[in-house]
Amino acid sequence: MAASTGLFGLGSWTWRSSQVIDREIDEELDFHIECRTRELIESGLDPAAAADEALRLFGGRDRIRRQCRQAVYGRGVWLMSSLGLGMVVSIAAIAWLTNQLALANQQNAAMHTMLAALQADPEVKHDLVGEITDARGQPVASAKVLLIFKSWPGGRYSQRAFHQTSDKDGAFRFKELYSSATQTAFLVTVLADGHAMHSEYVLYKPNAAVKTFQFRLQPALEKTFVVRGADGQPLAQAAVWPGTRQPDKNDEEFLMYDQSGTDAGYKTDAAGQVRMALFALGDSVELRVTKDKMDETIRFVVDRSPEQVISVSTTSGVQGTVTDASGKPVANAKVLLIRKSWPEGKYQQEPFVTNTDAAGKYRFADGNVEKDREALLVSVVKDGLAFQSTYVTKKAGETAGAFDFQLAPAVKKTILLRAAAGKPLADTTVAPSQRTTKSKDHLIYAMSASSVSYKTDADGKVAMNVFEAGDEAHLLILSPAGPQTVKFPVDSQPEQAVSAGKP
Amino acid sequence: MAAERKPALLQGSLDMLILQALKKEPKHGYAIARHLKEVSRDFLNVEEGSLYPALYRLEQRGWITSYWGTSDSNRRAKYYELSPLGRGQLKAEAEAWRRMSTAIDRVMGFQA
Repeated sequence: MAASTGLFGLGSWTWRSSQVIDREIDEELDFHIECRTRELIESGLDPAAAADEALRLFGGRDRIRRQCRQAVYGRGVWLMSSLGLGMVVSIAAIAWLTNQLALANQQNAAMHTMLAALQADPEVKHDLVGEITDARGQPVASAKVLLIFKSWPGGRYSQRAFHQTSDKDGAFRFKELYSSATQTAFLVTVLADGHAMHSEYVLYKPNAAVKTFQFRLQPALEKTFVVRGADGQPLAQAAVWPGTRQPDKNDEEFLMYDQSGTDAGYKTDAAGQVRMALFALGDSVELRVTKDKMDETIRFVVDRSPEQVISVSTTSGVQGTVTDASGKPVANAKVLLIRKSWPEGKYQQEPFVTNTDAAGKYRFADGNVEKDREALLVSVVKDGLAFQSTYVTKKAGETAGAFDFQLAPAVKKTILLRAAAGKPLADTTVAPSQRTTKSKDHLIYAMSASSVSYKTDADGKVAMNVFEAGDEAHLLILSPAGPQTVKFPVDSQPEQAVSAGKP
Repeated sequence: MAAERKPALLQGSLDMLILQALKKEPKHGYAIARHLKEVSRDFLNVEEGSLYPALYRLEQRGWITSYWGTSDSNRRAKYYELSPLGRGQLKAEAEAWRRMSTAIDRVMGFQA
């Protein structure tokens, strides 16, 4: 019988085969060293030196592997042989475990849970329930309850949105929602007129007992927001919802995902007004506003006035125009944004993607935020034109842009991608990652590669018209063995063989 | 002029830094290492591999959970996420750290 790789994590207890644990440790450490090696190569080191440096920075691999194993086994892992795991449900195994339970009084609860898990039916779905009361403990009826349900069935991440309203007793129930066989997470956001928006996020390991959500809502101000666009005109018939609410002088932040946005049910009227009684005085709020193709975030602090004007910033957002060499707008070009920022001093990097419109214009609402220190990489890719990028850093209190591009024609090119041994790399995903011209490097980050990727055919050929003759081109090859970058000088011929350097 | 020396981490502080790195979103080990390097402006002298025994230890304590996902580079990678228990632990450790550093600052005369 084949060995199972199923995991049953129970707090400090883990039940899985020692082979699986060891393999996972090795895979994880290898992944780290490979990532660091790739980064060092991209920074200019040759591959051999990069590999040596990555190992040096990592530290003694064998020692670290040993320490990882000690961390796992030192807390009572039950080692199972790969053959034995298949027999877990046998009576003998359960009897043996039960015997061990008697000897390990402190671990009884965990073991009972584990035995229950072994007999659990993963197809059984459980209800998620909760109760909502106001500040005086009275039930809050007809509150909007917005749920983001995350699960990892078969190790794959899944996220879905649900919504309903609380009943007359302030209760809500999402029926037959989750299985306890996998890890699950719930973000529950409550919007109730007259009460401050509240949310709670909880993550559960497999077989954990999911609690009843309890919300006690605080009073909110009655507010009418007058929502204006960047041109100062009222934004009529726009969908709005609170993205975040952070109470004054309080570290706690309440969230609502965009996936639940339209379920919130708020829309501006013809005068751009929307009534919302969801915030308290002094709250820092991010209000999400969408209409047609517009997607904006308006940040403001809630004041005392019953009517508050809030506007889309005229200078925020990453925006620009893409034209060709003759100055004509380039429609439907792919525009990639990498936004680096340091919220609360912590670095984060986010990718965004959009297309130019018929006038060659594009805009990202996220990014170029005046209050933030940021670094912005904008890359533009259009078949038939040489791709370009620009990288801008700005301090808090500044804005940048516009980010305009004028793209030169690309050489029409079919690339024949080969492994080192000369064999064509068929059905392989590749993406342009850099072109170095005489004056500048144009970049596309790996985290954006999936938006501009190509696939080779059965002969290893791929048409890629995004480089100029004379460029040094970098291609990112995404293969099951891991990503790999190949560099080559672009010639003016219609077909060019490129060696990937290693099989 | 003396060269700037990168200090080794103080005993016990690595756990807190890892929990803090996971406060906003799940990350794999390499992303945690990069996060610590970038946020500290390359100042903290952390042997990268030392993160992993700490991650396994934190998971055994129930402060973080893990799952296998796909990285930005399309590779299978092990991600770690802060558990509710870990969130509480982070809060407690951060507060203890704040008190300790304030006290040290006062002793050193950096703060009145």
